[in-house]
Amino acid sequence: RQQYVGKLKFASLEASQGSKKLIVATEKNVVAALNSRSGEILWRHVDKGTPEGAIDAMLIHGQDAITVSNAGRILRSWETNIGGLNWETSLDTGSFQVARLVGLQDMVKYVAVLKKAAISLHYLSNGHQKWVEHLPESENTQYQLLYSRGTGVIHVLGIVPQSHLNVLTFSVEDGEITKQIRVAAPWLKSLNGVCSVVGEAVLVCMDMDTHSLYVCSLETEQEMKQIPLQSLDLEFADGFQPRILATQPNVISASRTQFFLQLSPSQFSLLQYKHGLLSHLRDFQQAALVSFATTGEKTVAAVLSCRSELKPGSSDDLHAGSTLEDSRKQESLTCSNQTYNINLYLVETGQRLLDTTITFNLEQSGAKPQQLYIQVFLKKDDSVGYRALVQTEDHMLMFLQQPGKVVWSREESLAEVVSLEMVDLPLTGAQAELEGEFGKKADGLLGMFLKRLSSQLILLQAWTAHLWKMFYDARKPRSQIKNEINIDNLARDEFNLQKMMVMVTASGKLFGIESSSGTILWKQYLRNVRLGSSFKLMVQRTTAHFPHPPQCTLLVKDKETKMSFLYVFNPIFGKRSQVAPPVLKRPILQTLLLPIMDQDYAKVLLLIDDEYKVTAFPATKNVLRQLEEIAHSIFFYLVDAEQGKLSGFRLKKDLTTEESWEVIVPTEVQRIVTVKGKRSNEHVHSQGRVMGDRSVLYKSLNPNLLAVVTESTDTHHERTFIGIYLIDGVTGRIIHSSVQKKARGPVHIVHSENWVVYQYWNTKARRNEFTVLELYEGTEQYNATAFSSLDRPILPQVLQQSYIFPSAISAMEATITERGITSRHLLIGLPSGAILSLPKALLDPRRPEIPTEQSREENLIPYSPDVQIHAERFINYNQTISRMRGIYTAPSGLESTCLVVAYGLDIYQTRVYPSKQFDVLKDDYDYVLISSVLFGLVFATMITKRLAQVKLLNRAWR
Amino acid sequence: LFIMYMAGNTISIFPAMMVCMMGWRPLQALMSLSTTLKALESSSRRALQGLVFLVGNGLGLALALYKCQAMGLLPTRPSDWLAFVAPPQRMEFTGGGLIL
Repeated sequence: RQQYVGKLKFASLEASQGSKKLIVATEKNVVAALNSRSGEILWRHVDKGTPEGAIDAMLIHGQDAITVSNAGRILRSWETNIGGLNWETSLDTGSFQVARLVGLQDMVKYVAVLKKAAISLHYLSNGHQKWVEHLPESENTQYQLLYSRGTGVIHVLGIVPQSHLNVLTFSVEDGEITKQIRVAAPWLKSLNGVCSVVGEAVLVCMDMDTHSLYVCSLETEQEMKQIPLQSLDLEFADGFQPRILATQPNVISASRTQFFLQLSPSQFSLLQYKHGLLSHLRDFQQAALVSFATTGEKTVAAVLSCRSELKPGSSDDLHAGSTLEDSRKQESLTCSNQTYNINLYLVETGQRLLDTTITFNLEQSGAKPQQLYIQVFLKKDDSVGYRALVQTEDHMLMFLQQPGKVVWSREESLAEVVSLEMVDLPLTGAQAELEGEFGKKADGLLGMFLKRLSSQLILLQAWTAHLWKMFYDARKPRSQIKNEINIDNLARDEFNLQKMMVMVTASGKLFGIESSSGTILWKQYLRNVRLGSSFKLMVQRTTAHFPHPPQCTLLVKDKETKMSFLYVFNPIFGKRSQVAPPVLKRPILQTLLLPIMDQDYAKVLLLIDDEYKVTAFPATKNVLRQLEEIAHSIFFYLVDAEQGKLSGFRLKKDLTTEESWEVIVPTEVQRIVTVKGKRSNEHVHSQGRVMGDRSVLYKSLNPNLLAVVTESTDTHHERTFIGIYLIDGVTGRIIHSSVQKKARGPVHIVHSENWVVYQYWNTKARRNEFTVLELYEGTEQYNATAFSSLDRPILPQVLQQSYIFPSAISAMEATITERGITSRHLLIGLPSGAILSLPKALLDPRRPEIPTEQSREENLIPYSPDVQIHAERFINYNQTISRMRGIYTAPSGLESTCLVVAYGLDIYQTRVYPSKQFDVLKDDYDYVLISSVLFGLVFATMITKRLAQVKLLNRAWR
Repeated sequence: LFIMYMAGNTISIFPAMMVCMMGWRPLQALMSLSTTLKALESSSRRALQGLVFLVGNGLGLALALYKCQAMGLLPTRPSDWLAFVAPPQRMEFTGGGLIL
């Protein structure tokens, strides 16, 4: 199991040197503390995955972390050492704007929360509300800023767009409005980002149209003072919304008078406003991110900038590269050599601090940094040391230390796995050599013989090396031997229990993870993938075809532009494949992986685009010829959930398609939720079931069967329903349809062999229910040798039963094994994070209500409506998986064993044995006893043989 | 025969052993047909006696087989061959799903 927190929203590093914690709040609605030495999670709290759990703000004070979540509805305080909840209060409704700590007379005592129409003040120690005040004119004024600096008053800034600012001053003691002023600001549209408070309550705003800064003291002045930017020799890029970044190191004292002004995506300048005077301290060109940090009396600014190729090493000359970088600036900050510098500058003067450069390289991932957090501390000699936390575009967290050492890094994108496949590991070098010998073409008897000799020699060499290593390892103490897995010694084990998990994450990063240890062996970031794209991962060639490398293909489709592209890679090493994928000009609707192969043993992938034309990949002549031959037996089905349309297409010889059937599900009444086909790699060993009277009930194993689930658009609990349709994907024939009244989704469905299990919420009885459908052909098989959907005169019999399940479900999947002999189990992920392994025999529609002689002979369990959750059926014990989103199963080399990966916020991998380990000797198998008995017997026969010989000889002598 | 009837049709070790014995003895007798015939060489109606011996043993064997059948030990039903039925070959390939 590996635990993740997700993409960071807020982070806070403790300012002292000895601190070990890092408090983070993430977009996955998680509040967690990370160990800053190792990157491990110290504690973690997972809130609801829905927007209800979203964290709006996080504030840190001492040992307390204050979070505001659920759109400002809930205020919580966490103890940062152990992660306990100090207190929790619920706030009034109203859209949340901002929260801030408020101090009074050298003590931070309160938390102020600004809502759209009210401001409330809470005690920091127990969360009780001190006062709540309504804000005047809240209908047309947007209150967006909150400021206090320990003077006993809170300033609240509201804005009426393009008219004026409303500055309210509240007294901390009783919440009385002590002052209310209006400042005319007809040019201002919004406060967020554009305005900030610096120094002793001085508001600084940026206006884009007039290219000038506006300054106004909240406490004394009533007018905005305009300072044109030209007077500071500054200019900003066209069409860019400038931002102002200020810092307030301590809540009870004033903000720093210095602030950053972002002029363009890559240009920042440090400005100072002191005693009514605005001065320009320093320019930062080509800077990606800036951040402030404070320790003791010193406040520093950290600037993360791209190290330009032309000026390696000298980061002082940041200006110099500007002319050369002009063209690059347009591409919104791409750094050509992926090397970044972090430098510290003293804010008072803008001077660069010596020896504070961290240089790090992101060459491997090629992602841009997105967020920067700095932890500064004073060293013993009073110089400034720091550590930096950098989050990059691909949701990777890096913790850096001087000089450029990566202390740890976390791959937080794994908290959002979208697609997953398991690929066999390659054979070892020696085995591969042997395989390769057979793979090559024969060249004469002698040549073959010599080749065989050489490969045998290599085998011998490998074996002796292995023995030597074993001998060498045996002398070392057990604890020192570490079986490190890296990409070089990656090899398949005897039973193929270790596999490579290829994971696609929502951020567009691919991972190759070794399944037994969970080590990330390779990662690859696809830079041009936008968030919210849909992915489909397919294994085109497995490792079985040595010397051809295995090949995976990822189809990425952008949600907005609808354009898609293929990414072909080697799933073992993560390298991009040499094979050039076809350029896709039209948006791709669906794909189909055919079992036919080209001469390089790559399966053929068909892509159907929005003009219903088909592209083949790989598109060699051989493939096209094969396709032409079997084109009449290739069918597509497309499901359009928006229009409620299912349609089937037939492939024609010239790789166009024609529509062959169409099923319309009226969208006014119900909408299609899921469509489940069968897994293509599924084997079914038994073609039927033996009845009590020893006749056979044949299963209806239609490989083209689709299970379509619809939900009603009417969600009233009396009228809501779900519908299940079993549709043949070739002919469009509806084999079975049923409507479950008074049932509501979310529906989880598993479709395998000849059965479909789905789970829904029964609104009438208020419980979760399972329904199982099984399809049988009857006691006669129509055509035992070939299955064709076009030739099925008899509809299968459908058996159905329902069961009560005591818990909701977050994911469901069926186990799968190599040959399908092992009985099937359902793996059910519960919201508690446990995975329940439920035997399919418990969900058997042939379970009789009254057990008879015959049903007893069939080993059918008498029907009981409730399926119980037994804790001993949990396969993950206490290794819970929070917010499970899916379970993936893969067969292993052993028939009894099925590999399971559950993913959600965490990733968990295990093996399950649905029918126990029938093909493996038990752990307590007594090798010594059995072999000693065997040897003893052989020995005894030898002795008795000898004795008998002696006796015979003696008798002959007599 | 009575014992056979009493043994019933359930499969357990004793009836199974009895059936085995029952089947095995006529088989053994048939194997040793030549020696029996040799012993009958002196007899005048050798052919008839031999035939009677053969038929008697055959009857015994048939009885044993019937018993086996009654006990369900003979693979005569389709269900007994189910494990060897090859899965039918699929004639069509389909693919697709929800529009991406």
